[in-house]
Amino acid sequence: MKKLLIIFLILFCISTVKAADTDKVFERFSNIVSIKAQFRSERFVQISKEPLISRGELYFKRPDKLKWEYIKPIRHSFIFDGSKTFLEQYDDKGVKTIKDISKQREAKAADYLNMFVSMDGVKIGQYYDIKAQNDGIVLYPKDNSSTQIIEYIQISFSKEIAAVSRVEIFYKNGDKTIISFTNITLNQNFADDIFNV
Amino acid sequence: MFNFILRRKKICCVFLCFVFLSALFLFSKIRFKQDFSQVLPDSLSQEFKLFESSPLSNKVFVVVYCDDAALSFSAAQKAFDLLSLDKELGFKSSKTDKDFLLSYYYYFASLWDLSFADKIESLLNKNEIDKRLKENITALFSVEGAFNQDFIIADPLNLILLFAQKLEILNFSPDLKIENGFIVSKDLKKVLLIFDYPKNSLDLTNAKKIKDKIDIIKKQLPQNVNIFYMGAPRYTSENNETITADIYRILIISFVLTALLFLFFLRDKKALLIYLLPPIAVIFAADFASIIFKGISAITIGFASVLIGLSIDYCIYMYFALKSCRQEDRFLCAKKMFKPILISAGTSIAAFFVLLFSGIEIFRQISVFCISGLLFAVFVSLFILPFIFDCKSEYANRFNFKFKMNKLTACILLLAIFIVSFIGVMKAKINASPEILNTVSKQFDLDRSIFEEITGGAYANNKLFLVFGDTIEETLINNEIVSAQNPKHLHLSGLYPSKKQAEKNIDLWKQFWKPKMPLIENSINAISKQYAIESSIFNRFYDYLQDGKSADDFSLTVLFNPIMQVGQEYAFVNIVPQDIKIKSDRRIKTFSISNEDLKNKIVKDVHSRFVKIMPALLLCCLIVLSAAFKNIKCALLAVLPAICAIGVFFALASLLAIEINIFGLLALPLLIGLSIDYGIFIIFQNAHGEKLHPTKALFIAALSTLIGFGSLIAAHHKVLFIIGFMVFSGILTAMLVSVFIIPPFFKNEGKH
Repeated sequence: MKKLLIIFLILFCISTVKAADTDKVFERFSNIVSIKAQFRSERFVQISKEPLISRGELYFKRPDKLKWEYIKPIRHSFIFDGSKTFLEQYDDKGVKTIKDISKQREAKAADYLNMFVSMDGVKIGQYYDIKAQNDGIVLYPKDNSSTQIIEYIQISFSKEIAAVSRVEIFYKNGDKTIISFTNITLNQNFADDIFNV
Repeated sequence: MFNFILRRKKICCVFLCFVFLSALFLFSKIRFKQDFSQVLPDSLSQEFKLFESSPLSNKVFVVVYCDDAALSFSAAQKAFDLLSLDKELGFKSSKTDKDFLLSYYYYFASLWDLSFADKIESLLNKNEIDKRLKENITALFSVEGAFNQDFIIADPLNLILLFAQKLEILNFSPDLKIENGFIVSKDLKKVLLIFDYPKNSLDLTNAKKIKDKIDIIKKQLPQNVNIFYMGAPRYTSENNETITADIYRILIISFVLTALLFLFFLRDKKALLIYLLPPIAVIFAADFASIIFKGISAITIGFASVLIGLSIDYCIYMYFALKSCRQEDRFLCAKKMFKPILISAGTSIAAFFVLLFSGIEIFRQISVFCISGLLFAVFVSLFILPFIFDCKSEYANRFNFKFKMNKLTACILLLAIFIVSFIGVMKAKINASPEILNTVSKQFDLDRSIFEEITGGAYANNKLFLVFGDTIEETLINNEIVSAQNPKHLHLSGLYPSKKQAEKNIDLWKQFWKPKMPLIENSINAISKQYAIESSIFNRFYDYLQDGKSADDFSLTVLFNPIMQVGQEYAFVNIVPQDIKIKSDRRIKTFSISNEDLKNKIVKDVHSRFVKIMPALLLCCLIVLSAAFKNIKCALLAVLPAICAIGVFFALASLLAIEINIFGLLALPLLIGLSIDYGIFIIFQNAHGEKLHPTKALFIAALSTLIGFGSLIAAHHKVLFIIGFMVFSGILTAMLVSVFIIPPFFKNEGKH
């Protein structure tokens, strides 16, 4: 009986430590008001011999404003203003068009991006089981239904500042997406105009 | 007989205990059916079953709404996931999600028609193709492209957007549209989720589970988002809540009043049996009816009230008769009660016997149930109670009414009752629609109005047009023939083609795409090269355009199955506006039915049957009474309380603007059965004197019925209320007519 009690106590301590670890991870990000960074996305897909590479910039302002702007190879942006998601596109002549895509599948992706950029621990915890790693966290989707395409997500943090430096998304079909962030500027005051559509 | 029982008292006791325990065991095994179609005439119950088993039945509708369309959508998605994943509920969903759309895309060649050829032709130029390809390649490069990758490869030209337009045929309301896999209102703020509900909609446990689940989901959604559900389980749940509250209230009222009645008039331990024995008659009756009909309806069990009411009357009559005699005259006195009790029972049995020929299943059950129960109650009253009740040689009639009415006053009063009754019967509002039987909360009414607003009253305004066939393929072909004759109204055949038509459509598809292939392949190859995409990934797309074959065995029945099996046949269910007239081929069997039509037919049929059944019931009683009394005047006077009871019930209902529902009509034999007894009692009182038949006995019998079933008048549920109202108004009238109006007619005749 005593042994059982000790095992139970050890297990309890381990789980508490783990929870405390992940809580600390998200605590680091709670003071961030805004983020500006450049990103590079590499999609390793079976349909292409070469990775599909795109580059762009991101702007984030707490609590929930995000602009995810692709500059290359094709210029377009996702703008999330807290309640709605918009797609900003440019034609060959540079004429801008804006579409409200709040009810489309892409909006879900934009919502995920917002969640990872802001490191919203509560929201992430709703969708994923979180495990702490040396330099970041690994997320395993709670929904393991047939419609789930993600196997797991690995997030690495910058050693210097409280920011995400790299996100690796592993898909069930063997594809992979790596998003790395550079030139990260935190808590810089920039105008809200950037999120206007 | 009494001596025979007396000599074998112990054996008889053991035998009775054995019989009772066996009956109780059988009762516990009874299967109660909750099939509303049993209430309908045989001819209509088939139509009702057809309507009930149509593809529109057994569905649960969940509405999620708020002022923000995006929020409504995300909340609906969450509600959809939570409801679909709950295995206990067993909801089957038919959401047009990504997998569904992909399967539908590959199935579309079977649905191809020339109207789509025209639409797509205009898109197949180099500029449009390049624009569409570029949009898709853009998505492939972005992070979110992973979510759409399957689609981009399967359909690089975004043809699915056009193909999905054909699914609009399934939208039966102009106020709804399909948006990203969900059915939404035009302002996008209200999302309608539709689930197939494979379980019994009337099962309370299942209905409660759905209610609880919706309540849990409501708490998980943002505060300003509302969610509610509609469908048969909601009615079951709402009705149950009302009935439960009613039963508690009524039980308390009737228990208190019965206790007062007992303490005031009876105050005898053995008199408790008056109220305890009749339920045993119900157990026997239920067992017997259940064996005959292989299970009985819950509605039939509701008629236990008639049985208990009648049995209580017999027990009371025997109790007071024995109380009035000496110990040594016990069995002589009991014998004297044989005739009045047998005549009372005989008239009731005759009335219920007529119901066997009513052509309504539930009436047949009620008939067998009540006749068997009455026979048992008579047996108990005549052969068991004389051994139990005490003889005290008391003259029980403390009810010597000073007020004696003369014949003229009685005639005038009777005439007045007949006139009022005639007006009442003419003016009474009879609503035989099944919906009136539901008693729901204010919140339900509010939710229903929102539901009807977003569905544009699709359920109320549409009718079902059924096309029959011996096999599924023949049914589909027949439907195509009838649809071709009604191209403006019957569209579903476009989504559910027969195998023969599907093959024709695929041939047309191949003919359409063949000349377009070089242009499409060249454009895709060029853009693939530009962005370093493997052009071979689009091979499946080329194959599909060229052969039109779907890889999986897909059918739109996953979304909506219009085929239903009707006995040995099959029927294709088309949904068309109520006021549309459909042309049909003489060689093809078709049938049209709507909620409104069915309601009207029920009202008409039930009403006309009642007009025939009620006089037949009374006539039957009259014949039995005439034969028993050998005096037509006595027979007429005995049925008088019953006629007045029915008349006053109708008169009061129309005066108080109370709608008489189908259960009000169903319960009328109850009123005849109960109130005729009081008339018979007074006839015997006049013949044998008040010692053996004291007015007090009639008074207590009537009061017991009034308290037991008349207290249902306090119920909020419409079914319970109408039975309560009928018993209260009817029994009170029957009692007053028996005690005050019948006696003056005997004044000059003396005892016979």
